[in-house]
Amino acid sequence: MSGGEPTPDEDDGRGHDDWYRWGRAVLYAEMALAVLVTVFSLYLAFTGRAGLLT
Amino acid sequence: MTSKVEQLCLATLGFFWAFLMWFSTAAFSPSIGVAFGLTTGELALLASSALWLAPPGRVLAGWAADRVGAHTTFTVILAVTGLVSIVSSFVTSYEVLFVARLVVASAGISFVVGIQHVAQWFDEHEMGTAEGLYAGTGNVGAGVGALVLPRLYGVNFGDAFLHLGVGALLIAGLYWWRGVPAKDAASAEVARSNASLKDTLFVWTRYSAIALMLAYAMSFGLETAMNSWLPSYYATGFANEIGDLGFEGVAAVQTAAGTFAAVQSFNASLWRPFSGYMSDLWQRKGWTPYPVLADDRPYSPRVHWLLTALVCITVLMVALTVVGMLGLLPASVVVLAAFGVAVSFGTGGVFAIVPVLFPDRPGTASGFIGGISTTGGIVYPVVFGGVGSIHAGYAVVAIAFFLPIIAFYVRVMGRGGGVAEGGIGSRERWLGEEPAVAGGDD
Repeated sequence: MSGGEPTPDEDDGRGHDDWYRWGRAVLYAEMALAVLVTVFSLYLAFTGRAGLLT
Repeated sequence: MTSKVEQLCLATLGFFWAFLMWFSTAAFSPSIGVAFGLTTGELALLASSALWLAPPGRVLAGWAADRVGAHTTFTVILAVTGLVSIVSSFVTSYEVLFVARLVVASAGISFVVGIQHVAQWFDEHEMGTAEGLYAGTGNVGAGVGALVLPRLYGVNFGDAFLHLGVGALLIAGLYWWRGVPAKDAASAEVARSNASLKDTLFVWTRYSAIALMLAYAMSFGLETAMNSWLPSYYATGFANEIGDLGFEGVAAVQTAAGTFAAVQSFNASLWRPFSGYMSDLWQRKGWTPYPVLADDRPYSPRVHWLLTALVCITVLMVALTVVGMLGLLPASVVVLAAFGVAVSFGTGGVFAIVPVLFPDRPGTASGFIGGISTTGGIVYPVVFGGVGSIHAGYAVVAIAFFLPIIAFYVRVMGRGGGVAEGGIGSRERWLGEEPAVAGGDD
């Protein structure tokens, strides 16, 4: 197969073991966590309260 | 009986803990400074020492993973660093503490061991996601350590070092008990038999390995550099703006600056699995949008995804300089968050390619690419602090370092004249007359 040719399986987990769906769920959760940590940190910082998390 | 998911979880747990130990000294720097009466220069030396052993240590660890198996190598790293961490909790001499923490920081070399371990268990079409989950989740250890350890232990760094060491010993035992080096004996034997000096020299001289090493220096090397540089940058470069937010005094300004800096660290870690997944997706869909890059190699879509990341990193470095010079603190932090995501695209993109390009020598290749590249973490802060304006360093690094790296990457992976299959000295020169494996350099 050349690099430019798509493989038949769609982006729905077909062609993968069960682990792949769990893996995708974990990576989406980690992305959401990154966004939450970012927003929370910036909220505290821009309201002058970053030092109160003790 | 085991499964690849169990091996992935083992590697991820081991790396997370290793990363926690790697940066645990930095989390207690102020307390250690007060306890031993350290100067600012001595504290800076202690902070930078965390990176000293990474380049040679990762090279050695990657080779060892191929030679004796990842489960053995990871167990030894966790056991040794865990024991020394326990010892460091009882010492009363700063000199002894410094040396002990230097050894504990070498836990970070385990990254390449886990990369090799995961590569030995997962198939090519899912490699990016698997390696991304391993490395990204493990990398979070740095951010978790910075946020949790000081709040959990206060100034009692001795207790923290003791508990982290005991945890490392427990995980080492678990790794030894449940770890299996590869999905079958044949894969383990191939890696073991390809771990000689000539194999190492073969990998080190491939243009594709050098291009990926430089790409990793642009991403992970930059990430570690920013971890150490950003708190000082915000505290100094935006002192007035942070003061206007209501933070007064050195401690408060440092807290705010550290909070802004953590935005980069968390995004660079937590988006990394997504980058690996995107590499798999581009490979599956056959996406090759850049006319300057080859599209006829079996791994070409992954190469195109990585170029996307490298361009984003470069553009956002320049953007950091622009918003900094304009004095726009909110915009700077927003750009920094995007920058962290771009860095994760680079780190995840590189190690979605490495095991595919070097399937017979994954540890040796990971050691070279993941090890030598960490020198970026030492070099970049020197440039950041060495230019006239504190804001200008990002653009200087982007133009002086990153544009040439991208040009080399395009030259190696390019269409027509690309030299990805080549290197300094022929395959026969290093390995003799054995047949090449189709689909990669390995």
